Amino acid sequence: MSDSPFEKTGNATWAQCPGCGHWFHISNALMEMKNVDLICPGCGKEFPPDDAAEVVRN
Amino acid sequence: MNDLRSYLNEIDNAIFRPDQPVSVVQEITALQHVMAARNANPAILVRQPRLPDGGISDMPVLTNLFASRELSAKALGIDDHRQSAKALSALSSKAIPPTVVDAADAPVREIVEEGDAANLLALPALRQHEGDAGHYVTCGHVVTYDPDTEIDNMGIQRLWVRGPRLMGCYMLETSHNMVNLRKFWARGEACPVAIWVGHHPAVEMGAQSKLGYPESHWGVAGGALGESLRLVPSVTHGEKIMVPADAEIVIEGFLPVDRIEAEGPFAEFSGYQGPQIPNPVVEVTCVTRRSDAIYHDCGSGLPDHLVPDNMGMEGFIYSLARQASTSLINVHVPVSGRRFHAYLQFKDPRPGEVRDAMMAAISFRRLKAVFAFDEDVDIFDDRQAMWALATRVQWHRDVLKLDGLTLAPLDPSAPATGRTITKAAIDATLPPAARPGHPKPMAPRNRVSDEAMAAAEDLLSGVDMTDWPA
Repeated sequence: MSDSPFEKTGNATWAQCPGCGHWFHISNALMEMKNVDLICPGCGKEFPPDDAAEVVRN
Repeated sequence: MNDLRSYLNEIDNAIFRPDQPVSVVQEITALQHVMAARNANPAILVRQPRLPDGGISDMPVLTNLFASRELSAKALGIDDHRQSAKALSALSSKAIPPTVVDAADAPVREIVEEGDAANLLALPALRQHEGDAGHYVTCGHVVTYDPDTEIDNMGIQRLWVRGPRLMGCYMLETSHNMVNLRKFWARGEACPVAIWVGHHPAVEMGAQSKLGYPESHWGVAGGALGESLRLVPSVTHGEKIMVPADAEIVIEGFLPVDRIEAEGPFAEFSGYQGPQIPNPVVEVTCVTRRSDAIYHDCGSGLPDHLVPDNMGMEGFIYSLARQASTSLINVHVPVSGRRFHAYLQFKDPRPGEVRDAMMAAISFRRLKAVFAFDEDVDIFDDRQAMWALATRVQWHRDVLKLDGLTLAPLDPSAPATGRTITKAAIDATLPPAARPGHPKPMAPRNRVSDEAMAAAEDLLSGVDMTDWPA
């Protein structure tokens, strides 16, 4: 990542549901709350952030 | 007595009523998108909302009620929507105290469903956009109270229907409802809450006025309506939380202590999806409603959502900036800028006044940029605003960048880390004339005479232009 303040960087974090594979947009604050499960908008599965199939952080 | 029904009767010819079933899953919202793209803004009353299971709800869905600026202003008794800023800035001084009525005189008490009989899934709540977490109550006025003073607070917050008696509730950390919730939780107590849906649009807009804390919203809502608002004690909380007797639906419950769960994603006012975030939940104790209740939805990120909010912002910004400059004559928060932009209009400002007023306005947390224009620019026409920016601004001279100001909530371009942003104030006003009555030291704008314009209007009146090239 560049240190330049003029280069654009993303700000959205995504998680992938381990049940149905649906990607959804989550806040970093939620990712950091290890005691709060994510809820997949695709299938309704509830799972801890660490159980996400994949996470793309920004 | 004015309520949602009396208002719908008033605007009967401005309501689109599809004859066929329309799904609560995206289809009703899609109607709003198509209408917004065509700049057609009737209210939409869906008499046969099709539920996800294919059944038809007995409860009609009303949406797009606020999409028209003209109609929304008229609902508040403002004949010209362009005068909303001044009118709404004065609203809090026109409060009318509410009146308490018996439950027997409250239409919203015609049906009372307590405990296991309460069923949020019976409401035709919409799943508006792709990627939304589920079905949301989008026009629920969430009422809490300050446990220290017992003064109420009220705000529209998105509510995710997660089960028959469970909702996720988006509460901005800085909102007054969140302040109340924190106070209850600090005492180890669940926060009592009631949520009302559906009333005369003047009540809904008045209830959203930006007030101090703690300060009751009921009087301002009544002032907006022009009559005392009829309230009834809630079933669950009694006189601790009053609700409008003439609302369509009331949902009551508690926000249990420290119960934080994932809520969202939800397509937001910005036109982008808000992320899944940690939020409190509402455990529902009771639902009351009219026997023939109308479910009021608000199309998120559409004019239906932005118009009433932005009109309220105009009043608030006018109050802020007018204190800094009496040459400020109007404010517009354009739908094109969502809630992030404000246009300020000046008449003969003295040197420095435009910047003074812009600094006052930019302190409003929701704004990212303010723009200053002269009185000859129609601030309700984005094309004219862009023309003035293109022709009256020198960027080295007329742009102020202000670092370290509060973050506009749900700004999709905000940095991933940090709690402040840089805002901008852009002065597109002309330099002052040397003396009052003299021309300003700028080239005059192109124009034709009033007579020629009138003749052109006359020539084209009645001409069908629908097949002309865009």
